Amino acid sequence: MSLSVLLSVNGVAREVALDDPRVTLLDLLRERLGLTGTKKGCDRGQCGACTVLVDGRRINSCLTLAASCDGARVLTIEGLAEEGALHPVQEAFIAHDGFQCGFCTPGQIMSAVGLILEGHAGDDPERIREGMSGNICRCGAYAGITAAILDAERRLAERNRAEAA
Amino acid sequence: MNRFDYVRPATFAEAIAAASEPGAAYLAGGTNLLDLMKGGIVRPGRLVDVSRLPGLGAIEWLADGGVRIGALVRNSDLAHDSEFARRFPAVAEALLSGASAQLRNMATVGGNLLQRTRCAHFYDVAGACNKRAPGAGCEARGGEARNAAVLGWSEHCIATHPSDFCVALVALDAVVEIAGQGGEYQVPLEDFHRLPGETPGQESVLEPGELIIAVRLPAQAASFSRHARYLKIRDRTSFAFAVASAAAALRIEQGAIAAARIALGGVAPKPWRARLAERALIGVGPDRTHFDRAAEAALADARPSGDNAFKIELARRIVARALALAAAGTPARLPALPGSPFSPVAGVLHV
Amino acid sequence: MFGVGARVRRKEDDRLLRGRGRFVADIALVGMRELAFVRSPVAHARILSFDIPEQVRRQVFTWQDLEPAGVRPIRAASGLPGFKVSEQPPLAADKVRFAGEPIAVTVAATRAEAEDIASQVIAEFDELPPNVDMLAAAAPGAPCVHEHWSDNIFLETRVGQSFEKDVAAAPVRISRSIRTQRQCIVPLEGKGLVAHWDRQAEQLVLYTATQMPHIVRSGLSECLGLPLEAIRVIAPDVGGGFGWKGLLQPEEVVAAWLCLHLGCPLRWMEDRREHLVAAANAREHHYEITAYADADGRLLGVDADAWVDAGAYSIYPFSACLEAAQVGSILPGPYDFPHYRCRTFSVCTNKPPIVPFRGVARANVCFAMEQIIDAIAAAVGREAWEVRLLNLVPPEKMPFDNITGKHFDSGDYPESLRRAVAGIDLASVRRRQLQGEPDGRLVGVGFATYCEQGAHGTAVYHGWGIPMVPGYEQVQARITADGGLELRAGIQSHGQGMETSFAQVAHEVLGIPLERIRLVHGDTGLTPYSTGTWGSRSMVMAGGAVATACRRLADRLRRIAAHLLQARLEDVTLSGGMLQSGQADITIAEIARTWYLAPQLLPADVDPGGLEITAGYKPKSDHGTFSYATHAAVVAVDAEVGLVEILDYLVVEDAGTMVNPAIVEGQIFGGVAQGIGTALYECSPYDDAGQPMASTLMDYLLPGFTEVPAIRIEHMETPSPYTEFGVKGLGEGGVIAPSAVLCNAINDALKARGAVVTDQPVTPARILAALRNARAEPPP
Repeated sequence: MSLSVLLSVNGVAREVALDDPRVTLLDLLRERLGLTGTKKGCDRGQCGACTVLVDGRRINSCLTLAASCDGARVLTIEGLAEEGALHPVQEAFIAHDGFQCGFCTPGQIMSAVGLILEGHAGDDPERIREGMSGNICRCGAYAGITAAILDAERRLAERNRAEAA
Repeated sequence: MNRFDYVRPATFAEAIAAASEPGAAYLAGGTNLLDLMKGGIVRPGRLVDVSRLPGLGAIEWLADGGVRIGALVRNSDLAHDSEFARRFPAVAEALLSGASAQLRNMATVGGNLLQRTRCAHFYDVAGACNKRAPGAGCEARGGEARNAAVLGWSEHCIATHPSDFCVALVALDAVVEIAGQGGEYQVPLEDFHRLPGETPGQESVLEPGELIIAVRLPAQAASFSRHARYLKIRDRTSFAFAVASAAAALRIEQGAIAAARIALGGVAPKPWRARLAERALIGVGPDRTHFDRAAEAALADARPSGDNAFKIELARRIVARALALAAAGTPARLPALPGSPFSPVAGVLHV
Repeated sequence: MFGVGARVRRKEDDRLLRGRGRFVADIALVGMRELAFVRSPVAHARILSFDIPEQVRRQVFTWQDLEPAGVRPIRAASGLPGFKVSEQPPLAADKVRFAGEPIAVTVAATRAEAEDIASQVIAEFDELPPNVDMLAAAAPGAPCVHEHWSDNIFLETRVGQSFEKDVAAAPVRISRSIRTQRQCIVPLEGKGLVAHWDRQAEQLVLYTATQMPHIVRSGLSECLGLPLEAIRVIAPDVGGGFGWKGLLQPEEVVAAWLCLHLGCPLRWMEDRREHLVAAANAREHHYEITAYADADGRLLGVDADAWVDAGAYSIYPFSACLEAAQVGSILPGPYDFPHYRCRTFSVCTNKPPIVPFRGVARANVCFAMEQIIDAIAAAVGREAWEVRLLNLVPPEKMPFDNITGKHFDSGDYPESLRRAVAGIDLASVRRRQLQGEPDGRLVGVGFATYCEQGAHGTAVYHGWGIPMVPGYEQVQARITADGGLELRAGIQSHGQGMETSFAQVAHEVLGIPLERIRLVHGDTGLTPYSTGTWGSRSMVMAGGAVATACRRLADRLRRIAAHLLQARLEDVTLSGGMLQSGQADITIAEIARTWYLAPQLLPADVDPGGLEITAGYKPKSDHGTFSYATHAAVVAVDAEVGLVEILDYLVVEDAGTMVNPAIVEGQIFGGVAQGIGTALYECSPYDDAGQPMASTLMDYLLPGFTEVPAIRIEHMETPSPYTEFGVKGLGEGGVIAPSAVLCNAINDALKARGAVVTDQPVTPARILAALRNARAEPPP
């Protein structure tokens, strides 16, 4: 049985033939499209390392069948930054020391971008922590990540205000 | 994960026909099903992807003030729908106390009703489990039973139902709309899940191929909006299943309780409505003594199924506290940590 | 401002932030096939037969295939007298000894297909009674895990003598039974490997997620019978290790052999279930401790028996007894007292082998010892910190040889405690306790002080007699023709930021800008031998070697500069990458150009070694470094539902000179986060049949955003007298104290109700049980 999936990944249309419907979105990105920035931490939706945005929402790509993503818009860590410049969330991760080994980091960053887009947490650190609880960092950089998200929110808001003006 | 056929039907009829075959399973958000398949706990031969079926993704307000929630509405969309959260705050709080933000973005209303237990023996594919393999035996009985049921269990199965959402829904008399080969019908959520008895593998009234299409909350459920909470004890502050939880909703008129709704989670094989406890509150004042009495009534039939006697006392305390929180009034904004006992009390210093 | 002590940004950050790191799972080789392991479903059994369908027979391999080909079992003996040797065939031979033990391997084009085949492999077992609890397994008559042994004790050790008559009159005698749970290590990246045969180099190349590549190579050589030069082990970016990635894994041996056998590249990635149920187990101890003190709380003696559940096999290279043997030598902690006796037992059970987890044994002994100190304080009616202060080694005794011969190098232990007491504002917590909380919760405060040996020397490992003994740590340094610096080190950086901190050390000596300094690490083909990154050693040992190599390079640069500047050698100084004599100067880059491109200009007596050096380093003392800290925490316990909230957490630490304070703080934050997991959440339980019950991360709960509070850190910086720049090892320190601190704080909160918790993790169920027991038996 062969399935064909057409999806937009980081703004580029990609068509992939699947010979096995078991392929998850995560495995599609990593093994078929060579986008290895998205990580497989637990493969069971419990660590957040595989977080990507699908149609603008953060999801666990390990629990998403690629076949069911036909027609979807996918944004991964590789598509976040413009060439050269880092996204404000990435910049804030450096400024606030939001990681160590870097393995959970792409998932943390995509989750943070999703959280900011959702707009429910605002500048309340407790709401940010709750909103990020699906992302585990075994190196324990949680305080840095929380500070980074607060900072990035501020920077993004300033940028949006500047663009509006 | 086992091999399977993947089909994506375009209509209800096609979906129901495709899923009526033995070994077929519906796929919606996939958050529970794919996890179980990756663990080898379930091995469906066919996945019927209903995630794009038209007409199941809306939150509809009914003329009588009730709400009809399409089965494919995502948990996060429902919880953050401001009108829904205003009218049914305990449901929104329960939704947001469950899982992670990513999973809530994926998980659907219909799928949530069909979540499987988190019993460690259900997940231990090397061991015996009547739910996984009917007739194999129950290793949880006498085994790792700390999180097992204290209400409604049988010698064949002591596993609990893991949903938070269903606890709040069952408290508020939710109704499940189902479509099958024989047409559409509806069943109160309270009757939707079955107790394990001798057939713990049969967890709901659904027949093969039947599909949940919507969940309705009656208009009356919104009459509790000023005093409605969900409280959940977890082994971790966030992103953990309930050790014990309770939804509590009160209608308070002139200082007395006119109506009460109570349900428990994490303590029974299904979301557990506590009707005796509700009745004990009618006409009395919203105070701790009566809440304790109601909590006693809610757990009157409880008995340990293993090394879990602590859950009976814990569940009593949760019920009483959830009632006290409900009586204190629904907060204007959901707490930062939904369902958490850490949600701040004025004057308490936190981190 | 970029050298030692500077808070510079990490060189590693950019690639990791963009998802451009290269972890082992990101490596794809042409023709690569995937492996899946068939694992034992039972804890203890004889393997009677395999049933492998004929159509997949050629894709399935068992010990019957490996053994005739000469593959040898993993063997990690200890030289300590009485040690019983276990042999672990990388695929079980005739017997399985834990649930999850690999019994067969399958090969296919994809992991999914390899798993399909694995599911068709059926083994028939004759089940044997499993040893699940270490105390039962240690008791006479327990069935033997290794049938040719006489019991299930890998090793018994004894430290000190019986001293009962010396303390017969002691006014305070405290006895405690203390249990610490089996944990899983869970770096976010699991174990994984890619193996291939390099036809040109005629080498087996193993990319593997390891923190000790040279040791993996040694182990592979032993098991495969290949000479070392025929094996190259490469650790790419590694997503956290915490000790788990410091071992030779059976899967590495199997994959390496299969790669040679099949002639194609192979990949195996540990999945999370494999990690949790079959692999990275750690920290399961039991203590029976009696302590004696005088009426002021001054310790007179400690008498302990300790058991470590070492699992079924001795792991390579650390062996099955390192953990228990360490317990005997470090239980006294940072305290000075006259009498000590400790017996330890490394118990063999039908569970996965126990492996070193950050803060090996130290976190457990701190948990045990610091509870004892609090109990003594309660018995003599003093504040626990006062009793600690009374017993800590004072600064005027430094350096100090403690009762087990540990040589504490430097520091002011009591000052860290005094600062913690002030910093946590003990007085205000005590007032708050008197007032009570608006929400009825019980507030408590706890302290724990520890000292931590890091960068262990040669003698101690020689004494243990395990397959690995650290000697001189070597680093190779090379100045390139354009003035850059390449450093090659056999350690492996997986979150410690060594690409940055080592560059800071080199910059401190040579002044070359950080962006022109590159660290090559984790590759046996490109780096000098090293035992690798473990035991809080890399900054001390390899950092020291970087400094040594750079100093010697500086000396050679000065000699060439003297010639080129026509100056006297003693007048030439090196500063900021510039060599100067009076008004004349020359850059390192110009000297490098001369060495490589204009050698005719070099002096006749130039060192022919040129601008490339391999330097070996050991600290002046072989005893390692001793960093130390006091942690303090305030908690609120909800006695109704058993939940604990951490209200404040303070670390006052001294790890000697800090090379990069941001990296130091990151290590401490991370250690404390893991310690919080140990204290409150993480547990891998086994049922009576020896089945692991935590098979997912919803059962094995890691601390997340909402569990880890903002942690405050106060630094002290007492240089080590023995190391380059006075640095001390600190990578493990953060994880040592949290479970002790939080347990003590919880008990401080519960004391109003007469309840005590002694076992970790302190879950709601345990707190409720303690309160129930206290109600049942009111305190005397």
